[in-house]
Amino acid sequence: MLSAKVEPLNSTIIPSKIQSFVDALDNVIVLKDGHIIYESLSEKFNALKIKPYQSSNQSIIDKHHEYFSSDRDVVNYNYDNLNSSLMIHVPKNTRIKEKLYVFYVQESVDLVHHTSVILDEGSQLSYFEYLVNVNPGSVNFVSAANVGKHAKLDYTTLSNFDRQVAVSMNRLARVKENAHAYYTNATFGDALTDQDTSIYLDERYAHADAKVIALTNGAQEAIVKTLVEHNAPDTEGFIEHYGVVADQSFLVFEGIGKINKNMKRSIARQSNKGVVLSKTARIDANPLLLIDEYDVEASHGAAIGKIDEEQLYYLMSRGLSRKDAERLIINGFLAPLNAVISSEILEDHIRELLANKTL
Amino acid sequence: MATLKIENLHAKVEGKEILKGVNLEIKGGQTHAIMGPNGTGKSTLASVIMGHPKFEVTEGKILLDGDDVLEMSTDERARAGLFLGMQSPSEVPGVTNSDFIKTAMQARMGEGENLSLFKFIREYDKAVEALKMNSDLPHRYLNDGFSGGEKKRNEILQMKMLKPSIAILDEIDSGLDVDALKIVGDNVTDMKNDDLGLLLITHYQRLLDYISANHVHVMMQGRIVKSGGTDLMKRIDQDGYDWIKEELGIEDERVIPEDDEERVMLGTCATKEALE
Repeated sequence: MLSAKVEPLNSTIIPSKIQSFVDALDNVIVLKDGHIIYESLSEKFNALKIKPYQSSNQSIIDKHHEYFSSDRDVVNYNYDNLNSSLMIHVPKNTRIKEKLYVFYVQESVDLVHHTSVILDEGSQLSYFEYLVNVNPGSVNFVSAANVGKHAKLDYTTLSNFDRQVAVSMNRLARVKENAHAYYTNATFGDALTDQDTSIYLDERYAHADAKVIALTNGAQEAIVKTLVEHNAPDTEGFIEHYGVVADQSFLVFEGIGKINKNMKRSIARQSNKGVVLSKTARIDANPLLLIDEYDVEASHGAAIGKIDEEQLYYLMSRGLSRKDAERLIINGFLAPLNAVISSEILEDHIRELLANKTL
Repeated sequence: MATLKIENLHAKVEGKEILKGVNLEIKGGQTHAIMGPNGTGKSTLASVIMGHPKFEVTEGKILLDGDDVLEMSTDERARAGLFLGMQSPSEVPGVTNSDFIKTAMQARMGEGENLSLFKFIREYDKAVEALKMNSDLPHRYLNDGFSGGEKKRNEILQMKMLKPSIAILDEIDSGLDVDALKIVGDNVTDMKNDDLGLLLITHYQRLLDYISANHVHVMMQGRIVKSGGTDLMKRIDQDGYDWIKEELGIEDERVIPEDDEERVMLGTCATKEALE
């Protein structure tokens, strides 16, 4: 049996860093150190079960965890040491168009959190998570999504940890027949970060889009791993990595498109794009294709470089300062993220984070 | 009323001197045209005025109302009132046309001043309509996937929004069909006023059918070798440039060798070109 050992809460105050977002957005949950301290959901969400494990159905949780049993140490550590949890269960044929915003806050404990997302057959969820810390410590975050037949999951992440924490984030998904999983994970913080997204296409016509955007600066190091594994024929997986590195920071992209034997007519594609803003910053991109079947389509590529001087000159010739021009070009480079952010306050926030990080 | 003064301007690229002593003065209300065959330094002059990093000025001065333009960075030149409509504008994926122009207009304002979004949108829509461009233009990425003609019209649209005091249009007619040329010509003519000094760079006289110029200059060997009025323009239209070369004893008018300028680009047409 699996349960979270939740520490008592010090205060129920929403940190000032996220207060304005909480005020501006609809359908918000704030989870601090394992406790829901704020919840405001429209009645559309009544059909869903959104609760910490201690208030959820234990057998569903156990089944879910068994389904995602892992050989990875960080994930197993997570299972063994949980002090924070959230279950989001969308019942059969329930399609929620409104976005659910969940803010995860680390304040007084070393956070070990697990989010279970269960989408039953034919359901749909649009989910946004924001991860942030208040005090020094460590964060081990795992989410596991079971995307049922014909279900659709839009999963967007913005993590914004400061340099006082070390962060490990693992996001797992198992995608069933004709189901779609769209992941857009943005890492904007200053923390030492290890981020892993692994999507398993378990049944026919399953589809995954995994886009990861990472910005590093200062002496920051970040590793971004993305795996899409094809465990059924006729499955499609797309990986896109976007990186911007400044100062002496170091970013590693490891993308793996894995097509197992007999998984015919599957498509695995991967692209890596990076902008290097200083001579001492570095991006390593390792786009891998592991393919054990002939009848497939697969491609991978990487393009890493400086900002194009001709583009800069063109923008500056209209009166934009070099900084403004760079900012605009980098912001344009992050267009895939902006495409899934549908709130103005978060768009502004991303622009601000970007400006702080890169200039 | 602005005055752009170019004195004895010399510039080189990759160690090779392209401009060899250009003198020119453009005042608000005037329209100048620089004509001349390919490879004589016309576009280089435009790029040097705007401060393209590829070119190095070795001698001479550029003054805008007495201020030293060569001391300014490209963006400072733009904010001082210079505008260059480029021959081949860059494509910038991910940056929308409206974000770009908004940022450029905001950059011209003082601290604490804010661009009125309402006014901006109204003005932008009007300009889009005047240039007969698609109404989705503000949301499209800057020049990304634009046809040659769309890029040129987008340059004029930017000029309309930014209202420069000195505008240089570098071969704004190339790649335009007759209809598009008329639209561009009408829009530029419409912008003419006593506060705008215009410099048109072109090899073809046909642009001047749509935008009338009162000062015509011929460039060869990196210098202005002949200046005049509409008479000179008409003579060039009739007789070409050979009589000027003869008159001045110029054998080779070029400063940029032909093979440097016309590279075969990759693409379907280029394949054909390369095979021929």
